[in-house]
Amino acid sequence: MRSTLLRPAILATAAIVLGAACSSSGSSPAPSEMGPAGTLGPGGVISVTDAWARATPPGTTTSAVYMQLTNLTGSDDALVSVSTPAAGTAEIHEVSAVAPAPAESTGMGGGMASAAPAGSAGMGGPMMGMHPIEKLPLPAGGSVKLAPGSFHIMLIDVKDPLKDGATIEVTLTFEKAAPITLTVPVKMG
Amino acid sequence: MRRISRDRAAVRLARIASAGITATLCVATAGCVASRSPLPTLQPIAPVTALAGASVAPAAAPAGSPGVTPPNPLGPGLGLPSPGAARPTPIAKDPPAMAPPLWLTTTQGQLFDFHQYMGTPILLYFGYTHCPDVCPASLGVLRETVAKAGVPVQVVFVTVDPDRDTPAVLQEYLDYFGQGWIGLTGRNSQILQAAELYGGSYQKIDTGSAAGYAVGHTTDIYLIDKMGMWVETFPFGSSADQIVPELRKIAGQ
Ligand SMILES: [Cu+2]
Repeated sequence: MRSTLLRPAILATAAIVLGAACSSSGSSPAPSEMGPAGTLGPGGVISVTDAWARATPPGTTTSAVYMQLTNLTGSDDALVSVSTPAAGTAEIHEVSAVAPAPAESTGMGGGMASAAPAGSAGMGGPMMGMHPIEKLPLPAGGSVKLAPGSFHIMLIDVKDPLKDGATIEVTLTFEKAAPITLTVPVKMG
Repeated sequence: MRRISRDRAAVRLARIASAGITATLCVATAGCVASRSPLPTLQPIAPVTALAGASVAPAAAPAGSPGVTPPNPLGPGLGLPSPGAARPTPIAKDPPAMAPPLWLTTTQGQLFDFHQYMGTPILLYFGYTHCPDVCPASLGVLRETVAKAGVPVQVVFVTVDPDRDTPAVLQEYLDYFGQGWIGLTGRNSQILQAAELYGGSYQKIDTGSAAGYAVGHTTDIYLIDKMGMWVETFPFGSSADQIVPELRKIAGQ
């Protein structure tokens, strides 16, 4: 017995179309029965939802873009690069806990990192720091949320200030799936 | 047997029309493709709380889509973290202790003195302006907290990147988030010492990013009461709704 079925359909009221219209997919003839993977488009299907870019405070030229990526196929994929005309560079970043370096090698304040005084130790959370990653794995059937404090698309050398209410174009490139260009709203966040 | 066991509101597909030039993206709350039965490997997707492209008008609705209950495509909670997301637990300072001193200077070049702010609760945070992720998220929470609290509160932000955060840069940045917010800076040795007195820390990290170095730092928000006592610590991810009641409580002292 076939356990899965995808049936293309145009549905009421709620279709939000980004970039190119989705009507081509909705109105084109489609097999009445499809498997869960590999039938929705060459290279696979990635859904992008909840995308937004952070407005840039004055004087700053970095920003972050967030979204939820869902790999609707049965095979693993990965986000491998991002580009946008709004910024000189876009990197895939991860925020993770930073292990404290020995006092002498922190490079800060001439090795000033003394032990925290008694009474305050253990109160604080870990240091958090961001760093670029080569790719963001999108496991088959899985969903990855880019959100403050975890993953983000880092925009560097933002050309014009990103203002609340504006939009920017962002192109996502995947290991397998075809690239996606989407219009991302800018919000103060 | 086939049955509809996935909430169609959760089906949101980016659809690639063809492999090359024309990537077609379609995001829909009810979906351009309706799932009639579960994708075995697909994790449940949270109910729609926000959609990319909020400025894009919903597509016209064709009639006769049986059984579809259209959700509100733009709400609730547009762009906010999912409502069900777990929040960290605030840590009460028990017993409260005198807030450790901040021997640092304001962006106006004055030595900061807690005593000048006796009578006003303080929310204290360490961060830096080149941080586009954690810091603005935290400052957004502080902005919301101040707006909702309805009681006087002083926000104090200590830069952990004094090399790039000149006083002018720092104050311009803070003015974007709130009125009268105080920015403090100093030598790295002084700032690190201040952070450590609160159980915090920071350090430069070379990440290979085109953005230059990053600064790893603790991300707690410290609440200091009207008497200068450090009473509570809010870890990263705390919401304004968690901080506001505490603030009101100590405002009534
Ligand atoms: Cu980053």
